[in-house]
Amino acid sequence: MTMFNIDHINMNLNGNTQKEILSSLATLAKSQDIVSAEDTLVQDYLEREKESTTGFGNGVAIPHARTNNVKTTAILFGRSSSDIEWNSLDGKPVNTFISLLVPNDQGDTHLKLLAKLSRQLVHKDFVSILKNGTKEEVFTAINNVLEN
Amino acid sequence: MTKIVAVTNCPAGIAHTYMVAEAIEEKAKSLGYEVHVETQGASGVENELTPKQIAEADYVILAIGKGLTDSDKARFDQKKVVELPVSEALKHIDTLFDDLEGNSHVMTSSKVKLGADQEVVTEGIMSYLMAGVSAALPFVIGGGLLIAIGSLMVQFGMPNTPLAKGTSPSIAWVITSIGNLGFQFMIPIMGAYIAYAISDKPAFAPAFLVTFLANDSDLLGTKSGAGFLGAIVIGLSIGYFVKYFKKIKLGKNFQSILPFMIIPFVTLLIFGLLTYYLLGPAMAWLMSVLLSFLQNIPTSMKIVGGFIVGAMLAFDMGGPINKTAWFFSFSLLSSHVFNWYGIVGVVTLLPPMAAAIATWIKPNLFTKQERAASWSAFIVGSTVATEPAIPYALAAPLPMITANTLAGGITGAITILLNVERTAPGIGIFDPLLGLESPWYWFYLCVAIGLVLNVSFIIIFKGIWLKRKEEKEKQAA
Repeated sequence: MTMFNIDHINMNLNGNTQKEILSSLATLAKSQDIVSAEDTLVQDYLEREKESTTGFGNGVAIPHARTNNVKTTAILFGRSSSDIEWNSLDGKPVNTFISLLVPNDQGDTHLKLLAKLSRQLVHKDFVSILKNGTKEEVFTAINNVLEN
Repeated sequence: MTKIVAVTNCPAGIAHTYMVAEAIEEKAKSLGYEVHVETQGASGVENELTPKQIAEADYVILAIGKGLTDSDKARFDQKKVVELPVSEALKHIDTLFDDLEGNSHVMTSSKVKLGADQEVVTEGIMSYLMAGVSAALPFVIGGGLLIAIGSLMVQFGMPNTPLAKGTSPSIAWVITSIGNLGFQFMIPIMGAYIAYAISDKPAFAPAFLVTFLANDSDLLGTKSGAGFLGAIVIGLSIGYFVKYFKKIKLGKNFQSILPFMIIPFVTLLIFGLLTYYLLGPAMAWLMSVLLSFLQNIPTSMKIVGGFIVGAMLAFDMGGPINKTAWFFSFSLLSSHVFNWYGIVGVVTLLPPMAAAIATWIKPNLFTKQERAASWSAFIVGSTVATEPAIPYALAAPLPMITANTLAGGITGAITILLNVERTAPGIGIFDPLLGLESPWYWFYLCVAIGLVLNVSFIIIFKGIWLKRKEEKEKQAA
């Protein structure tokens, strides 16, 4: 039961709009048996975006969901070939996605790991790996956060 | 050095709470500020700000995505606060610190506060009891006023038809019944919020249910529920029980279901059974002992008896002690002895009216919420019920119960001495006008004496109590 493995990464997410990208992430989640229903996850993502954008600037967004549709806590990572309009805080389009999925009744240990990861997202060097690193570099960087 | 404290939270509690916390910490440190950030995320409150950190902080930053609870806000009363939505915080983080002074406003919280110049109590048993008080007050106010309206309607000749097969209930009965729910649920709400204040959500449900059980005489098969003293005992015991229960390590697979399944289930089972098989019978035993004690007071010692009955009536306001004294007096009506019930008519008016009057004479002995509730306590207390006095007693059990009991006792003795008689329950202070209590002049004299005593005792005892507490806190700090 790992929250993050190399199969959770898709360096070439399909889509040109926010909704299409979110659908691709949901497909990825479903293929890894992280969620029960793909459609529901897309809806949950969109609901969250409606509340306030998850694009926190620099071309990175963190679409996330915390619902019972999620079976196990997981992290997904993706990049898109085109720049996606995300209504970001800095107004810039987005091409890097890190998605946090949590079941409603998740216990402490995993939540603490996600908290650690979220904290890293405000550090420029970490974000720069997410934006520019290779698949392996991204995998190692995220795993380092989770394991240390 | 500039000192900053901050609180972050967000709707899902998994990403922004921590990103913003980190961003604030980094930025503040880079500026050479001392900073403490409390995160309120999905796994609960972490790095909770201490009263000392808050007291010393120059500015408070609240980056909030799902609001703050009232008691949470109360911590920052009178502090310079910068509030912004958590979603905006990352955007503004670079400029946020440029003009903290200009962007801040002084937080004026209308929250539970002891006295005008006193620190908010954030820790210790008193703060737990205060959590119970502020949760219960709206129940008493709302419920009490409805009951008062219902009773007045009946006294002015409207029908009081209860729900029964084939008849539809009258509006007065419906209003009174809805109001009664306020009184009925006030007690379990107290127990639940006392426990919640100690150990958060896992304690809420078991404390609510067990206090409900302890206060429901039908379920327990006793003549009285445990009342507000029962709520204090149960709320505190379940609160502390859960606090230590939460620390148990069950291994990865079960740890996640500990707070919302295992703790509520086990706690409810244990305390439910304890309440049913220990507290219930213990109360029944206590009541029967007290009752036979009252019945055996020789008639020559009427004044002593009056004192004891009065003191018992005022002691726990609806709890077993009060109910025993009431039962003793009420059952004598059938043998046409009316003077003991006269004591009930006088003494049960005193605690709520006295508490209300005391808030008017010495407002700084009471919280803002207590002061705001005073009119309702006065109106409801003077007409239909003693319950409005309960939150005041819960907020400061020792001085308030002592004051009420002492005043109740002395007034009880005077009432029986003057032979005030009451023949049936009515609407409190207006009973003599309805011919239910006589002679009217002695009745009003007794009420007046009782109020003067009760109000004075409250002001003296609570004043001393608060002063002592203040000194203790000073020593601790």
